[in-house]
Amino acid sequence: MLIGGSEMYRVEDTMRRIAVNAGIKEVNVFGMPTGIFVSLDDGTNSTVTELESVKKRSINLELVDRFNELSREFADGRIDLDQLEDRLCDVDERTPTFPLWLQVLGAGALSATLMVLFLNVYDWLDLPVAGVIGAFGYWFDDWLNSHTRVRFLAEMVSAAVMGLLAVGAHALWPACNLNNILVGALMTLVPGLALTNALRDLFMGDWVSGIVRMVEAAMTAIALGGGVGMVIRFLGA
Amino acid sequence: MGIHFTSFDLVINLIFSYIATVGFALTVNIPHRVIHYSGLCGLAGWMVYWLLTLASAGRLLSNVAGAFVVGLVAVLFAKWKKCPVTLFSVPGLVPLVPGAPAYMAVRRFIDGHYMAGMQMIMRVAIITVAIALGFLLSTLFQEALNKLIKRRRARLRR
Repeated sequence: MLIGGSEMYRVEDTMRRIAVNAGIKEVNVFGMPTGIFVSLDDGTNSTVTELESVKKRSINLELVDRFNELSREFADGRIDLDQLEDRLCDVDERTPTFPLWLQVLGAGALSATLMVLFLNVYDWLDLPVAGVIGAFGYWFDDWLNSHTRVRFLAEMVSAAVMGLLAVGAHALWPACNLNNILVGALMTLVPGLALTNALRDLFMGDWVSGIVRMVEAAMTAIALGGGVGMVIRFLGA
Repeated sequence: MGIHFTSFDLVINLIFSYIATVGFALTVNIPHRVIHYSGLCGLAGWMVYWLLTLASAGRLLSNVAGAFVVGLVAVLFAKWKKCPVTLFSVPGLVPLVPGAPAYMAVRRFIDGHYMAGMQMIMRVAIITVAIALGFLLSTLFQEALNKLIKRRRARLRR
C-alpha cells in the first residue's frame, strides 16, 4: 500500500487491523514513506519488532485496491493468515497494469483537456499538439526512469524534451501558443497530487511522512521547472 | 454577479473534465471496474469549481468547495463500490491541481521577474492548501456520516 501511494494513516490502520485479527494483543505500527516499523506483543514476554524499508514509490491504485480487498477478506475470516501471505505476495508480483500505450494515451488526453480547462481558451490547434507532446513526455519519462536510478533526473530531462518539442511546434506553426502547450503537456508530470497528499498526511498528524512527501513533490517541481526553463531560456522563445 | 456561460462552454467543461480525470486514472493504474466512477468524481469537483469561479467566488472558496465535493462523491462511490476512497479522490482532484499558476511562476522566473514569480508561487501554495482543506472537510463529513449510520443502526436494533 505504501508503494501504491496510499495515505499513511490508512496504511497503519490496515496493518493494525490485520494484526488484531490475527489475535495479537498489542500492536504498534509506525509508517514512513521510506520504511515501516511494526512491533507486536502477543501477551507473553517476547515482543517482536520488524522493519521493512520501502525503496520505490509511485501511485498505483490497483495495488491499493487489491490489498484493501485482501485485508477485508481476512477480517471477515474468509481466508486465514497463510493464505493472506500467499495472496499478498501474489498481488505484489502480478498486479495487472494497463499497457503502456494506454497510459500514454491517457497522458495525452489529460494534457490536451486540462490545457483547455485551465486556460479557458478553445484554440483547437494547440489541443492536439499539447496532447502529443504530453503523451511523448510521459512515455519518455517512463522510459528514462527504467534506465536510471538517479531520482528527478528523468523528470528534468523529459521536461527539457517537452520544452524542445513545444518550441519546435511553435517554430513550425507560429499560430501555436508556446505557454498554453506547455501548461497542458507538463501536467502529466506535475506533482500536484503528491503535494496535496503530503498536506493531508500533515493534517492527520503524520509529520514525518508529510514532510518527506512534500520535499519529494518540491524536488520534482524544481526538476520540471529547471528542465523546461533551461530550454526556453536558451532558445529565447 | 451573474453566471454567464453558453451551453457550449458547459458541454466542453463536462466532457473535458471527465476525459482529463480518466486520462490521469489510466496513468496511475486504476482498477478497471471503477474507472468511469473516478471520471464522474473529477467531473463533479471541476463543475463545482468552475461554476463558483464564474460566480466570482474567489479562488480559495472555489477550490475548497471543489475539493470538498470530490471528497464527498469519492466517499459515496467508495461506500457503494466497496473500495478505498483513494481510488476516486486521487484522480478526482487532478483537474483542481494548480498547474497553470505553477507554470506561470516558472515562466516569470525564467524571464527574470522574480517578484512576479514569487507571487505566483504564493498563489500555488494557497490553492494547494485550499484543496487539502476542502478534502479534509469531506473526511470530517464522512466521519459524521459513519457515526450517524451507527447510531441509527443501534436504535433500530433496540
